[in-house]
Amino acid sequence: MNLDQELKFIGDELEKMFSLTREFLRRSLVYYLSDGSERFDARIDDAMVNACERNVEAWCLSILLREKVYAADLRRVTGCLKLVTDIERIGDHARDIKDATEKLKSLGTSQGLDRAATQALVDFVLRMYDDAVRGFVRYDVALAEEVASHDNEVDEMYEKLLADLIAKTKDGVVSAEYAIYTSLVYKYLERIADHAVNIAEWTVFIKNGFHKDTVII
Amino acid sequence: MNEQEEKRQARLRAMREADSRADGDIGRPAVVGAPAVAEQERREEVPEEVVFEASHLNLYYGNTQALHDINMKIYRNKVTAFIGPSGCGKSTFLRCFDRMNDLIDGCRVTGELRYGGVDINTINPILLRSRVGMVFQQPNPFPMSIRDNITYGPRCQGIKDRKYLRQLVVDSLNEGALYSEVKDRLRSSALALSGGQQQRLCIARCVAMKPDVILMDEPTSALDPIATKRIEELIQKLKEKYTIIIVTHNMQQATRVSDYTAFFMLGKLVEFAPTSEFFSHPKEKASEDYITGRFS
Repeated sequence: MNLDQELKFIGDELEKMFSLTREFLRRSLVYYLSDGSERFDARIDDAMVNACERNVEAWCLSILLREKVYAADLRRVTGCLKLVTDIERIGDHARDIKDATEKLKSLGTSQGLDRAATQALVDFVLRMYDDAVRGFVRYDVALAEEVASHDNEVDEMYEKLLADLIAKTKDGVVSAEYAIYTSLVYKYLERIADHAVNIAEWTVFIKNGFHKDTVII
Repeated sequence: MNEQEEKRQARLRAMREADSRADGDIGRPAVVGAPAVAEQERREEVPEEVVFEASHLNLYYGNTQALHDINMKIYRNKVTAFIGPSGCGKSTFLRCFDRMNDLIDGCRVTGELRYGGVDINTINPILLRSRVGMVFQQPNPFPMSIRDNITYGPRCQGIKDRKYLRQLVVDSLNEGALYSEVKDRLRSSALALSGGQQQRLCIARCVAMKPDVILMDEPTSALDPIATKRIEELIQKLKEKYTIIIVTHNMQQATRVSDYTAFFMLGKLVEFAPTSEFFSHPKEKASEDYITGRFS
């Protein structure tokens, strides 16, 4: 394989990883939003995502070892090497949400919690992830920058949900144990959004060498 | 400049402005009075002094044009790397700086090449070559002792003071990072040295003439990685005193040792830029194709 073919292979592998992670995340969230009543489809797990990550890392490192990569190629290889970690972390969080849902399932239902706001956060985070992926696949800097700009909105949604959860815990609407696991799920969603922002920021880096308004190379 | 590049430049400007405000932002006490002026002077970019300037330079071997309309500046105490595929004219251009092309029959140069603002064609070539030294691809020590290799040039210039020459040998070999290895055998044949040592001797022989500029034509291509590393370290040290122009096929070497890179193709200067910028954001497609190995 020449360098172009190798770079294409890495891109293909990342797209496969994006799809796997996205589907894993969707299944975990469906499971969570149904309070565990929907059956969790376990045909995708984070081991599959991890295998893709190893593959991408191995190819990137192998290119750095063998080839003299400069300019756009260097940004592409190093950028992929960085953002692959974020995709893998999203896979971990998908598993975490599934695990937390299993705990919550054993503790009762989410009666009394603001499910519409939770659904809104879920939709927002998934849209950010999808846009981050689209931005990467098309090397669309404008779309990537838009994703990065949503970071604060997610934080606000997360803070509101947390405040609602605290209030309802104090009022005795939900148990402390239930609240702890629910807050974990909120945190995972907020972290997934952060990783989507990271993917978007590395996309900008791959395109023009900037990362968070700092010239890396 | 395309939209992407304009955006990049705008962000760079914003970063520089932010950087210049950084001291106040992080709450350091404001610097006022003379220290403020000194601080300001420290921050101001020192304009780079031009040593050589080529204007519309063309070079012909008989009817064949080898260099086309070259315009470029060489800056003092900087290392400038010339890169490009074989036959692109980089060595030919290098030889213009000390008028070595004058020795080739049928070679004709038009346009201008100024050294310190003076057209080099008006400078005595012997004098020019004492100010502009050259190190070649193959180490070429003279078949004489290490000491005589160093003193040969100055002796040809009429310097006979033994004390001066003795000190010159020590100083030049030190500058060539060779003295500690050969100090006990200065009268031994230079041909007995290893390839890397011979090349450092050639550099020491070059600096013994107290040049202003050192031209290096692929100085490490015949050396192993260890000897190459030593020469590269030496180049970094030498640039504190000398202006260096180096022709290299090794792009990693260009990124390691040079401040500016000039990319040539088919006798034309395609791009000239600070090295970090050239290898990360080349402006010309031909440059990017070459450095990323997509050149055909």
